[in-house]
Amino acid sequence: MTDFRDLSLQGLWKNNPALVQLLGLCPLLAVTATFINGLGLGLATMLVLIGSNVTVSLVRNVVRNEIRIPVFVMIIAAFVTIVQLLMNAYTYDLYLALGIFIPLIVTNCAIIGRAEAFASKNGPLASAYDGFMMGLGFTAVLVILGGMREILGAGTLLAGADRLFGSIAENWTITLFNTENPFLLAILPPGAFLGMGLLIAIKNSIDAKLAAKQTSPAVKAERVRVTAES
Amino acid sequence: MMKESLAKNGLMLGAFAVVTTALIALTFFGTQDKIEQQKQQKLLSVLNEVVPSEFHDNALYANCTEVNAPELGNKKAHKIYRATLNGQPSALVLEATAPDGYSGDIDIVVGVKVDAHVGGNTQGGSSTDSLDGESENLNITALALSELAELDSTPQKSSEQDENASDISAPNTNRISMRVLGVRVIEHKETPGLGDKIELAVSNWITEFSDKPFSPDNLAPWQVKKDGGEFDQFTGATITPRAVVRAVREALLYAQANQSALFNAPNTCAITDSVETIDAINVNEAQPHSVEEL
Repeated sequence: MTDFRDLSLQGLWKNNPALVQLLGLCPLLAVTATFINGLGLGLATMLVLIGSNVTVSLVRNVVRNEIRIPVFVMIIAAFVTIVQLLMNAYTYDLYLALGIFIPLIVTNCAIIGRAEAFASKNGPLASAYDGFMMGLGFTAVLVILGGMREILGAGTLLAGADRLFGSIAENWTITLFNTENPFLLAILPPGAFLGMGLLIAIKNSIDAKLAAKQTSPAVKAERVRVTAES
Repeated sequence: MMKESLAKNGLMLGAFAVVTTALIALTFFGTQDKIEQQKQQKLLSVLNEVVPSEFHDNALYANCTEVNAPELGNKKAHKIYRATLNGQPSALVLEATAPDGYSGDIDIVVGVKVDAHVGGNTQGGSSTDSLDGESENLNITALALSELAELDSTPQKSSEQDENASDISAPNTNRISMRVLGVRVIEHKETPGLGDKIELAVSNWITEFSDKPFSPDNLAPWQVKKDGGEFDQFTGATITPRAVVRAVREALLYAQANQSALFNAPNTCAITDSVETIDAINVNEAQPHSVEEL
């Protein structure tokens, strides 16, 4: 049996698709100029991830090992296209807001990565949960990075929320400071790379601290002699 | 052995290809009409934004002509919608493309108010055949006249716009100033956070065009401020607004030169099945606009 708590931890932190596996960087870096863009892409990716995980899991015993990758690719591409068509037809405003991100989902290696690493070896329910958690982890990184860049670059947060949530969100924009000159470095792609690097560094340093806490005091004591730090 | 597994794998791949393609095809056919309808609704709301309802009483989306004019940005066919009020030509909506955006083409629509007596219907007009119900008061000679006008394009002062149009000779009518009703960006790939401010959803820059008078004799204001014109550029993004302003200017020049020919061209927008639903939307979405009466 798969441990759902472990799956959550894996998706959100230990094996986060963006911070640890470093997958799906192309759409991630491209669209995270604002908080809302990040959230939009994150949600769309999560939907596709859940759908493709379940489908791959269902056909995992039918597909022979040699041809599994092309089959997964077909399933994912078909899934993304169908989602795109359905959104185009029934949630047109959302489609207009996310339009450019949806085809980008196909290029997200995180999806085929999960299909190969998890869904092809586990049942549909666990796969769906894994897709949900991995999607959530991916969305969290997108939203943090998007928020960071938006605040630094334009001094606002949640700009354009109405494109995702409809007209009720028109006044959601929070202006932290007014600037005549947007901080271009944060808005343009280099800002995405720098921000992403910072996030990874922060995650690693937290991990390192946690690891240091967990190790026994004896090890710490040993360190005292070696380094002059503590 | 080898052959067998090859065949099996091939068959299985083929089967998956067929199934996934079939699923996509089914979804495509299932959503096709709905998508088309959504696009038309979008087009309609844009048309209503650039030509407010008080400027037309015809079904704007169902009255258009297609032109292949390099003045409108590229060689693709562009639709030009014709608005009439009480049977008189009142406004044009031109689809245009700015080919020199920062990342590719920018598709825009330009709504422009035209003179009701375009082409002059007293001079030289011997026959008054109506080409279609929407443009009864235009006659065929208007086309020839406007072409003549292009040849001897003596610049006229814009003060002539206030004169009674039927008293103005054809070359003059071709030179009166026009008024922009509104401009909207339909599609673009500009940098999010910089160039995408041309989108109304992101900033209201595009409304700078609304209600601007246009005269071919005074093109200097039709540039971004950096180049000595009237329109703001964005910090860090001058290329995008420059391209849009230029495309609007070119479209207006084109409209100016071809007004009557455009109104006289045959209607190529067939009326679709969903007219009734669209009419309903037409009423609902016709937004009040701040454009003052001329």
